[in-house]
Amino acid sequence: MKAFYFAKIDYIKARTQLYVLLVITAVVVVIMQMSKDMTGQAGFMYGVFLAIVFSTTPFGNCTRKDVGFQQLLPATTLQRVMGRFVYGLSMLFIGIGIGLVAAAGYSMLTGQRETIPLPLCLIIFAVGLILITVQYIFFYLVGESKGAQFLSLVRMVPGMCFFFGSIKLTGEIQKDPSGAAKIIEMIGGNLDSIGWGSVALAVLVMAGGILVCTRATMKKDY
Amino acid sequence: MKIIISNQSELPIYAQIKEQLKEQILNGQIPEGSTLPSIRQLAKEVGVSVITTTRAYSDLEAEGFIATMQGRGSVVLSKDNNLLKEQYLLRIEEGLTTAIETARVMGLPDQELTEIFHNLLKTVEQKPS
Amino acid sequence: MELLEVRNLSKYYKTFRLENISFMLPKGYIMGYVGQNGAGKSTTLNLITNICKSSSGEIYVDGRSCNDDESSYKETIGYIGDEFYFPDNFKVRHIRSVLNNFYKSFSTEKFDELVTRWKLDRKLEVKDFSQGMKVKLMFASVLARETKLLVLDEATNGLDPVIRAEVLKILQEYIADGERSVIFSTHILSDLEQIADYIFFIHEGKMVLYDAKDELMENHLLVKGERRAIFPELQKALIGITDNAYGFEAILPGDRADLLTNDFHFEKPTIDQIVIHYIKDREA
Repeated sequence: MKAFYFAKIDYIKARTQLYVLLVITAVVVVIMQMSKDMTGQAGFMYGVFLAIVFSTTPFGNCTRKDVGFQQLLPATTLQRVMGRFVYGLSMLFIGIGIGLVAAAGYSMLTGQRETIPLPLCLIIFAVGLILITVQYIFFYLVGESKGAQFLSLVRMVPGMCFFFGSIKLTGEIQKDPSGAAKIIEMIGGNLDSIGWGSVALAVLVMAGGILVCTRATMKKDY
Repeated sequence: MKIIISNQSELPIYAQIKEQLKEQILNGQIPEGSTLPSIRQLAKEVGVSVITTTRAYSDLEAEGFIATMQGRGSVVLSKDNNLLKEQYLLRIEEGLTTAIETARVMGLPDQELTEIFHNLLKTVEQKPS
Repeated sequence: MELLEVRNLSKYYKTFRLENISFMLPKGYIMGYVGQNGAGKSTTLNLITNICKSSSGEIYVDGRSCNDDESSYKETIGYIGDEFYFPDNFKVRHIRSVLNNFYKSFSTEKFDELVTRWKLDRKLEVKDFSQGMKVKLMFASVLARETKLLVLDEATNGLDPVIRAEVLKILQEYIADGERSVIFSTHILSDLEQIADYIFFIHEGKMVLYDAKDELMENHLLVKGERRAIFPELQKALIGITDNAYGFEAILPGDRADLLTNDFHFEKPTIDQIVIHYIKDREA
């Protein structure tokens, strides 16, 4: 339970940035409408991209004294770290929510109906979760409040890599579906299980990440 | 009851509290049988440490001015108790000694001194006790 | 019964070592933890609140160690720092809600009452509070729950005399039932000095003096006189001899008072004077 309360602290601290997210949703719909290449899938990816970027906000606005405040609260390091991951995970859901809203908005505006295949969603979700975990591990290893300076420089990088990487990938597939078809053939009908498998893998990575981060901060001084 | 702490005083704070309480008990401003504020209460009111007021009270207790009873607090003892009587006698002796010493300095014969003493006994009004 | 017990506490940093600190604070008393800036005061207090981890040694609060049960250990402690520790963009209601989530004994009624009594602005983000308001908000957040030990790290620095006086009253009220204790650190004694029962004086990470305040003051004399009147035996006994244009000043342990001749003037020292001369002595 206390992990959720720690996530709540992160949300209160980041509340102004979250208002910006709502505005961004609207912007995404408009951009998608303007650019013909953008599809509903891209909207979904854009949502995950947002989540990856915004998931690091608690590190960006974290000062030394904020860490002190959190350490004063009656809770264990594990609960504190889990709180941060609860924040990250919920950001991911919010991002996906925004992506879906954007996609729905897009299809309403254009009249195009487009279904996003479930396995693809699962894989994107898994990749997002793993990227968030990797970022968190990095910040906890550097030091919770020390990452702030660094963050302002590189915060977009992991999200960007994800976003353009996946756009490129889907682009490639569309250009030359034969390659993708071969892969699909290879996988056979197992696309679903690959989707779920990747999610399971991501959850494991996150669990491992929580342990690594807890160990890294346990002995750290405020 | 009133207590004034002076930082200029050469007396330590516990002694200042003790002396002032003693004075007020002896001249009747704090009546017999009345309950003094608790050690912690007094520390809070006067703005000094608990150890300081504890020491003042335990000294007063040792000298027979007050008794601290579990649950009842510190009570000012009656002037009849032996310890306190001693305190009174001590004060009387002190006063008389000063008088005698002064008389010796000016070379006043002892007889005249006792006369003064007897006259004063008559003139100083007896307080109804 | 001891409320706070610190045993052989050490903390090693690259540039600073806190070494082998031990003391006890019984229930219902106030301890002043005194020293210069950088003497190790905050380090000690941060180890007590467990926001820093010790290199060795043990700390018990109300018989409990942080290693036994971190949550309930932290519940019993109220901390007020020299630095305001609530996140900058929080408002009073955010703090109220977060503390209510985390602390079992947090009373929202008590908190609201203190916020109203001290006229703390509910609309402002706390970073816009004045220094006095920040300190009061920290006090409100701590006093609204049931704690056993108050830890104050230079908490009254930079406050005006009126608020300082209020803080003194709060602390004395806090220990009034004889069940709870306060430890505060400071480098300026003056007003806090009067309510402290015990003084622990630390210098460069090591203990210099530790005793009941009244004992410290009674067991030391402030000696003044002419420098050339000092004879070797007295020279050895005097602590922190300081010269000025007209003579010297030093502290003498009370049990060496027999050394004083008529050449010297002596008086009751303040804790500040004792501390200054001991520092002088250590640095000589």
